[in-house]
Amino acid sequence: MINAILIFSPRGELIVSKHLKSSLKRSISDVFRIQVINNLDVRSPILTLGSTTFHHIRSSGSNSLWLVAVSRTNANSGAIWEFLCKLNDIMDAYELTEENNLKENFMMCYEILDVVLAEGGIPTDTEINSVITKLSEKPEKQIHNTTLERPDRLNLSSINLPAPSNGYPSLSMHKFLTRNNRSMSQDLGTNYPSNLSWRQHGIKYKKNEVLLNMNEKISILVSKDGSILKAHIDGTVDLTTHLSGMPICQFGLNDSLSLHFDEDASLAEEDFMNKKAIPKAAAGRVLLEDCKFHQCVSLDKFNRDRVIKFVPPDGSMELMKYCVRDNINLPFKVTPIVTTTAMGNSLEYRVTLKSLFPSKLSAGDVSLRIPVPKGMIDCKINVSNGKCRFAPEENAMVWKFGKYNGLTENTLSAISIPATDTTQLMVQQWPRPPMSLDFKIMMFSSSGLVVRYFKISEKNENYKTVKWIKYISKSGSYEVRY
Amino acid sequence: MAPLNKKIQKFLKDSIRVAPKISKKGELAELRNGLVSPYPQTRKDAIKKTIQQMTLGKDVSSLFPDVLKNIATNDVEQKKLVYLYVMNYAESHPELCILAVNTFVTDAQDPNPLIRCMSIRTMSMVRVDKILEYVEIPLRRTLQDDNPYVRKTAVICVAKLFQLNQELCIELGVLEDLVSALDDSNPMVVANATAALTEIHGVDPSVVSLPKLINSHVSQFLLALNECTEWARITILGALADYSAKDSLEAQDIIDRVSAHLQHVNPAVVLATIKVIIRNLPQIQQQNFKAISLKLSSALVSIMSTPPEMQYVALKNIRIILEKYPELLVKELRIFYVKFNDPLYVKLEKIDIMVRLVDATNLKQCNLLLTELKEYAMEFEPEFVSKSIQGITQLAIKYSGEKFVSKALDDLLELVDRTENLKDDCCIAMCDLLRHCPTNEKIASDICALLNSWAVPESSLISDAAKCNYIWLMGHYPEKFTDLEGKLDQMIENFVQEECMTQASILMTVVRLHTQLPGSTLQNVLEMATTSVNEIDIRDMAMIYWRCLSMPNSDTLVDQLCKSVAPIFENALDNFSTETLEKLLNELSTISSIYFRPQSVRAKRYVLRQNIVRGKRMDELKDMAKNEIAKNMNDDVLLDFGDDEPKTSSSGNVSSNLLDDLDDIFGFNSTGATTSSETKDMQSSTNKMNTSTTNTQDLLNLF
Repeated sequence: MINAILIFSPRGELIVSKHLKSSLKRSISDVFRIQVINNLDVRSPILTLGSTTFHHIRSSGSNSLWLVAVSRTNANSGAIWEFLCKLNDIMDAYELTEENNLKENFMMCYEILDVVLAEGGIPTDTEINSVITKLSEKPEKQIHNTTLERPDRLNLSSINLPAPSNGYPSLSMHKFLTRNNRSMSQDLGTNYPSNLSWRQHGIKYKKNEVLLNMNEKISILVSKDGSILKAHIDGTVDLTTHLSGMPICQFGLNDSLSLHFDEDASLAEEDFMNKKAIPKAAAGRVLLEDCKFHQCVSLDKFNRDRVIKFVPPDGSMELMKYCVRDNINLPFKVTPIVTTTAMGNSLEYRVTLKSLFPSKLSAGDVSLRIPVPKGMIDCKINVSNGKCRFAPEENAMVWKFGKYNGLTENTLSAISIPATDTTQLMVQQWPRPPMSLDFKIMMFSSSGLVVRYFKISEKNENYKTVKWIKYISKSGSYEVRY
Repeated sequence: MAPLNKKIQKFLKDSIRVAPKISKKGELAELRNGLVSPYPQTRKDAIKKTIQQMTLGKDVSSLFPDVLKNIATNDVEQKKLVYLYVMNYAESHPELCILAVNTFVTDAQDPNPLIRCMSIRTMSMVRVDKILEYVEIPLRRTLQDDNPYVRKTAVICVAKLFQLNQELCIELGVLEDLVSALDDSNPMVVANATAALTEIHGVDPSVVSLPKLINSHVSQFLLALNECTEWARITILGALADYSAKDSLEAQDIIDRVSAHLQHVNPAVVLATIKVIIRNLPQIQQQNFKAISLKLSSALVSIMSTPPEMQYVALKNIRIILEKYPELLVKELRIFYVKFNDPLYVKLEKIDIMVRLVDATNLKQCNLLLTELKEYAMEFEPEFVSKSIQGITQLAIKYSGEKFVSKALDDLLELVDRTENLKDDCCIAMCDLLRHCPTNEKIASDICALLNSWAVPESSLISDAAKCNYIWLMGHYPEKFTDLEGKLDQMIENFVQEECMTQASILMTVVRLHTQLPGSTLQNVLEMATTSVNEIDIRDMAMIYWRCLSMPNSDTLVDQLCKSVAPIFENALDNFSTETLEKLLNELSTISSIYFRPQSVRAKRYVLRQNIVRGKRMDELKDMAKNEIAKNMNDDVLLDFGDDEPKTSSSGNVSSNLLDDLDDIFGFNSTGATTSSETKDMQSSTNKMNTSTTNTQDLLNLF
């Protein structure tokens, strides 16, 4: 499928090239450099010349590398791109997406490529946790979403097991994230592949712990007249497990479909539910538009019985993704009024920002970016709260709050000051890019989705686990036109 | 006491590392010393260093015999390292690897499955056809191995060996073993066997009857599907998509069993599943159709929250699927609204999809989309703006109510008023609208009033198509233009420099209006068109007009020619032919589906250019190996003296190499060449699809 993988520096220097089938000449990289990297007109991520096709992506970050897959047949394009993205993720975990790091440590990159691609250019295993176990080094930085800031005790509640009597106060959380309490026998036996490609035999922890993160990203687009053009929530359930043996986990949400199924069966699980764990905004039932599951979840079972059952890979992973479009609890409302001043070459802004979530909660890192036309040298800004500054390099005003309490309202009024050569026409023809809002709210679920239960069973009778859960709502693209 | 002492001694010996000496003989000699050192740790370090040098691109093949000595060890890590080294040279220096073939054969019986895997893998990579004689027995054994991990590697090796020596592979019958691997209990083995068979089928379709095999193993595939990794699922789903169900029951069954995978997190798996479902969809019973199409739409929608490249593939595929099942995503219009930070290629596709998607009977939805498109037309990226303006026209023509058309026109007029450089696109768009409702006086006069107000039209319009449309409009509504003659004269002045569509349009308009224009204009244009234009079509056209005009009853004849009306524009969206559509549906998510160009029917056999060493006896090979090593050692010494010579010669080669490679791409083999010409064909046909062009061609076809 893939004939070669090439990695270029941002300026087009070839750093890594791995040829999987010998039907390509080495200088194929020059062709890509000339045709794509040095050609500013190229807008498409795919290029076909004769029988050779180049797929490329740019790695994340400001100084982005070019990751290129070369193929010579009518290959599965979707799979190639997905593979490149996964490769990027793995390299990112090893901090290889930085040009200098990659140059110093390119051996690591070859090692990764050896593991993830089999003979004939077919990807084998791109599951980050299992790839890491096959490599000689472990990444320095915590992978995936485990780089969470330490949850403070107030916001965190453990579900299911009687947390207080367990004798592990919040202190254990720190240990959980920092200390490696894993003891794995390093003999050859562990290298034997197990039946489940994502989990090896013989994993042992002194203490079994599970951390569940419900992340939601709210994207919304509001039109000029205040009506909502589109709104949706992209949610993920991230799971970090430190569990011994081969545990089977089962997991339930308050989505309408599984609730419907459960009504006939038993409601016994409800007892497990700890009332504290439910975020304030939780609604009764949530209609999940489409759920995507990690490969460890048995999809068949979900389709039949609506039960999410799986054997988790060791470490952290993204268990499921979902999308919600109805009954969204919007946390913020932005009402902008932007008018042209009498002179015609500057703008007057009146923006109201109102928080709609419960007053007990507060949002962090709130910042509203208000675009200003080019040719403005400054803005006269007056805000009721928070800090607002004019950022000429971005052509925008940025209004920031360290902490924003629930159910409060703040206003901003500003007049932009034009440069002397700014004409009326420039202001008139300005495309008015939308205002965008960033925020983060802990223990708030905009979709109203909550975890009802999380069960873990293992062959071992004395299998005890500690479970933690955290809800985070963040802004995706929260855009307001005006 | 004694055994402990011994143990300590052994431990010390094992952990001793000898610091590399700086010697005058060069790096290679130093490495060689390390490789033959009596201390295991030192040897290991030396192997590591050798591999590092190798990755840097240095030729360390002269160390081959020394590295190879280290393969007989119980240390798995060291063994891995040696194999890494050997594999690298297996392709480029096959004659060297043949030296180690006996070690490989022994290792293929190692109790450790990882070692068994590595040995069989390495053997399959050695590009010497004779190696197959050695490989046969270990290959058979590994294909029947107890450990599924070994089996799945061995299965892939069969495909590699097949490329090496087809005849012997068939003769030895390893392909039958491969086929029986499809019945394996382990899903990964099944997946890899499928991949291997697909590859072999690609090289030579006559050897294995892949479609038949797929037919007989559908149930195995469906079973294996739920238990393997994501990439293996893609392979299996790919095979399933090639299978046509016998009846509606079976089709329904397949759909039910795979549809769980629409929920997979990997979008490539989702796309592969969609492909299988689409393949079986025509066969199922009508009452089940609704439920499945619901699932399909939500799966397609979910791909819209993936990285932009993935979205691009999905959008292109949605375009294909929509043509077959237009009702699929009707309710999901909003998902395709363009985000501010989408890359351009995604934005353009999204506009196209939205216009196709919109329900032409739903006024509210159409209005919403119109406002949205207008919003896009005010952005700054020129391609995006032109596409949105084109979208507005397509939408108006799709909805087709006169009220709606005039509303779209108002929006266009407002846009032109707002931004100067939209004149080109708006001119084409407005003429398209007029072509759709040619009888509406108000629209006509609005458009002409605007165009008439432009002072110097020939400088405000840049593109060929826009000018062509503008002149066409003048020809059809001469009474609505003031100073028609002056405006035409401006155009005629540059007649020779214009591109051919504008030339044709000028020619027609002048002939059409010849009674209103002074005779010299007509004469002038006809003369220029017949003498100074290179385009044959234009010359021919001018000749015909001239003859007609000089005939006795020229007036009626010319009237007949010019009064014919262009066909009404019913649909501004292009469609695939049924045949192409069916083919594309079978090729979803592949590269060909992105270019909308189905793979040619001719079985594409790609010839592998490999330097396989053929027909050499063992001792010859050994001699070759020795020479090779000796030669490389000399090279090393040369380099150490710091001569600049090798460098200059290599830099001289670079340019010629590069050219070689371009050759390789464009004229790789006969199929390669045809593909590139096909690409050109495709490009020209897409050009034709472009609505503005179609419109103009209609105009040109009039006479």
